[in-house]
Amino acid sequence: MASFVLTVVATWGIYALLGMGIVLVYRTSRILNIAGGELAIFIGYVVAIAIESGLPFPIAVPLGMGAAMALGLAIFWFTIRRVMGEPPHVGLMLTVGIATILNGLMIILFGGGMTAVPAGLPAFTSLGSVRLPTPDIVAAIGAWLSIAAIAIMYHLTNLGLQMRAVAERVMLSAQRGLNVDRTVALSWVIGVLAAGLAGMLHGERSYVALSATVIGISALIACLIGGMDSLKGVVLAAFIVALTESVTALYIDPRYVLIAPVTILLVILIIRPWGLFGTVEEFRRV
Amino acid sequence: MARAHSARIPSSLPTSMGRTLALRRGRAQWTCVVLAAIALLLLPRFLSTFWIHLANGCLIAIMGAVALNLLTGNARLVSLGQAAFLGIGAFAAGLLQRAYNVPFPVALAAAAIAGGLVGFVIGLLSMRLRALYVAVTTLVLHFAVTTFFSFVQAVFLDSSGIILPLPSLGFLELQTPTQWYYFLLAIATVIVLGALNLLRSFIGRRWIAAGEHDVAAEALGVPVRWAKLSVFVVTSSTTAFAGALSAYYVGTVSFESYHFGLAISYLAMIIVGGVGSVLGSILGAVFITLLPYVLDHIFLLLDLRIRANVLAGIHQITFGALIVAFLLFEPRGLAEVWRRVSSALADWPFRYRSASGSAR
Repeated sequence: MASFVLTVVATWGIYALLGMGIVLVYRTSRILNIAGGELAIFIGYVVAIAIESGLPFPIAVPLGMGAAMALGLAIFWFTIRRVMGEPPHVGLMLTVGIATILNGLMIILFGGGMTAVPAGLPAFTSLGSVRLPTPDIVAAIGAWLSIAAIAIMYHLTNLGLQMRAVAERVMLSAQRGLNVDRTVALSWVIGVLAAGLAGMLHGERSYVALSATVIGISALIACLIGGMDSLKGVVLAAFIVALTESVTALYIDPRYVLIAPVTILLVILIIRPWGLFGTVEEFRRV
Repeated sequence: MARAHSARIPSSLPTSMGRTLALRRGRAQWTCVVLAAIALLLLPRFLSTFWIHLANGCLIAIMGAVALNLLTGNARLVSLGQAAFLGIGAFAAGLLQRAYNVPFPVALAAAAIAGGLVGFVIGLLSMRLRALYVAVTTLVLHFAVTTFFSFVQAVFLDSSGIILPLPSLGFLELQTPTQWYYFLLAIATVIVLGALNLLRSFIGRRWIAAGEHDVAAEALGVPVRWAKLSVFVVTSSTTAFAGALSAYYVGTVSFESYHFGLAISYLAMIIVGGVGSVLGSILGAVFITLLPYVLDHIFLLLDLRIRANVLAGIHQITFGALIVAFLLFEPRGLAEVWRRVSSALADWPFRYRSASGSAR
């Protein structure tokens, strides 16, 4: 039971982290990032390969974080910057293209096979009478620390204030002398960093493979259930997704984990299409 | 200079509504159409079996791309569920064939109906949703449908899926690639003409209006909900029909064929070809279908020995890079390139067309 709770908490943290990356980017640039899963697993591969080639875990992780930030900046600079303000489907299809490129790169650079991000810790930790898998503990702690860091950044720092301003009214914040391009660029840097961290932690507790990019789908479902423009919503919705998936995997069949979240999403889309915590204005109905 | 101003006025401004709506204008276009038809009809005589197979693949891709372009290009509802709808058609036809051994046309009709029904449900959802949400709904549909098919296949079918017999239309046996070629050519022609016709009718104009700006369209009296629903039903049933055809052509139905990469390659077709243009769908479908083979051929010629999985990676990177590059640098796709080249040829040797149209 304790280990099941731990599984849910770790999965929840990873989905919430990845979903927060997607929501951050969506709020400032109004671009729905389909490539979340691919970005996550790409960075997961970078860290896995770094560890395989002999780097210790504490060095490989910052390396992966740096790679994620560089990747986010590059994506913004070379593509997103040029389609800001275009109709929403352009940005969406752009991220589909980016996801495809990343997929191809993963095959060529890393072989696309299954590998892991070993933290080099014992497989189990005993807490009193219960034995818990250490990778899950590491993933849960890492994910929730990252989530806390992003939430603090978003709600308590100047940068977060600027991001919220851009999210609310681009025009007004530009008129107030806010550098919109810089703010959006930083939101992409942080969004991809969040995805990368989620990818590393996923690799640390289970594995990194091309098929693992499906965590992006779960995170997207969490974003939609919670509301595309709500950080709080995505964190809570990620719990629903993680819980239903873990229960399905435990009692039915791990192959069909997506069925329950998809059903919940369809119900949400019918009765409350803007999500549990999304703003209604966000969702201009015809 | 006056030239710079007058050069922008098209000389062929149509003078009547009838001419605006006409599918083909002028003798030159008719000549092109007739020549293209003759070339397409004679094509199998000059191609080896391998290339006829590729041509058939292009024809099936054209059907799907034309449908997707109506949905995504004209009604602006981005669909990431193209592979799912192809799969729905294939599984509907395949399961019926396996269970009741129904005749080929009945299986095709059932596939179209099944696709239309699922499209109806998604359309009902999309009436309440805006562009981005529709995209994600279809993305989720893709994973739901493929998971369902993998479940069906694992529980009720063999691991290899359904084996389909060679179909026959009663008067025509579809066995050789050449017979298939003419059959698929006829159907693709019907679908292309149908799309062109829909786009110039009130139905297609409603779709375009709803896609351009739904609120403005509603204010002008366009029934936006009806338009969204109908475009989903029409295009999904066409896509499912194409999926069933391709399943019969290949001879098997298996959920592994309907991976997400297939949906992306269809999206690549319409972006590379030209969003919102029927000609673009055709150009894009041919381009994207032939691209992997052309790439492989180039690598073969260069005598690079590349492992198969690296080759798959190169294909994916090329697809993705094409999507990104066309979105950034030529958002109207190959159709626009085609238009520029052909108008440049028509005006040759002049650089511009004069206001009175004397360059013709």
